[in-house]
Amino acid sequence: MIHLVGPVVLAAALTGTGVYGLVARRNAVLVLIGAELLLNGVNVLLVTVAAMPAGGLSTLVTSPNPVLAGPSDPLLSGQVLAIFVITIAAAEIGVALAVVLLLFRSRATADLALVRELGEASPSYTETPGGGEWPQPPDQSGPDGSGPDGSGPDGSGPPPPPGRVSAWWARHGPAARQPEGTISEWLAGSERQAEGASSSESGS
Amino acid sequence: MTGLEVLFAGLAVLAGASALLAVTSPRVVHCALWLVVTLGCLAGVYLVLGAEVVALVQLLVYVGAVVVLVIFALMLTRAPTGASRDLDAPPGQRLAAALAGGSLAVLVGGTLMYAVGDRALLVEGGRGSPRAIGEAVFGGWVLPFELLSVLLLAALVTALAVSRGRDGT
Repeated sequence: MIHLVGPVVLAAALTGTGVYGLVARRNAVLVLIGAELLLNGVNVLLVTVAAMPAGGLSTLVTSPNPVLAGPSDPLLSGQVLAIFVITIAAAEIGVALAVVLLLFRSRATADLALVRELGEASPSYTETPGGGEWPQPPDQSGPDGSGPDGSGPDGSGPPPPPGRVSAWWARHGPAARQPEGTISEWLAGSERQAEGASSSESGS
Repeated sequence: MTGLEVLFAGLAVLAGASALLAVTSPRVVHCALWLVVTLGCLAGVYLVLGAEVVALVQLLVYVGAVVVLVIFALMLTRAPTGASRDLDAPPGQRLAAALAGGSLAVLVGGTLMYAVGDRALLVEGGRGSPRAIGEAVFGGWVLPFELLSVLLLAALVTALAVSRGRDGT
């Protein structure tokens, strides 16, 4: 026997925590963690209702007995729907993380506060993922010939030192970049950069 | 309080506290690991509520797959491993978020607590057994189940198409 207040309070707390995580976070992956907590709050409620007799919440009205017991729903709606929600959450986070990775490849950041405008014509769009060269720590020089263009999003390049990404972003990010005249000029410049990068890659 | 209630209360407090840490921790890796604690405790909560299959699916899919995906995404986006102030919004937005989350929790929790009153639940084993779930899924729920497989296929193709980028690399 278990009182119904506990699961209900747990579901409400998880939902509130998830909403806080969705709104208060700036890193895109951490926003997704908030969404997962929100979905789990729903799941707790579904499983709780599945443990009730057939009819779910409506048995609260009809049953005179304070201890709810009786034959279960033959379709087991609560538990099956909880499994469905888990599956949909897995599909959702797969697609969402692909979008986050695409955002990181084209903007070199997963910070949602920095991505004010979408589209390739915006000044923060970059053809070189990671913005090209990552900062090297001053105490260790670049080891073997892994050039700056080798620092793709697959993590093969030199990793940025922790805590310096924001400083690097302040120096090299779109805020520090001088705006060039028009969008077409800027596009031509970025195409030249891309051609130069690809030719240097093929040359090496 | 019965033994089940004590077990449930412990698991629920652990799940709630770790969920709170998962959305407030200044280190991204810690956030992912606190999410593991939350999801594991919720699997225990499902077991207490008599849903064995849901608990196992939770462990397999959430702890096994979703958290690994999250950690991979943190790695691929070069998230800083140390404590960082860039993860949280400015204090005004955090206050608004706390207000929104708190008021939503109070609203949902208050409504449901009023609805359930002091009723108790007699948890029966066997209601969430694999046999019962299998008969339900492949009986009455077979059409939504098949639709769900189509959804998973579409999500797979979408993730591939999105992450391939424009030039096919």
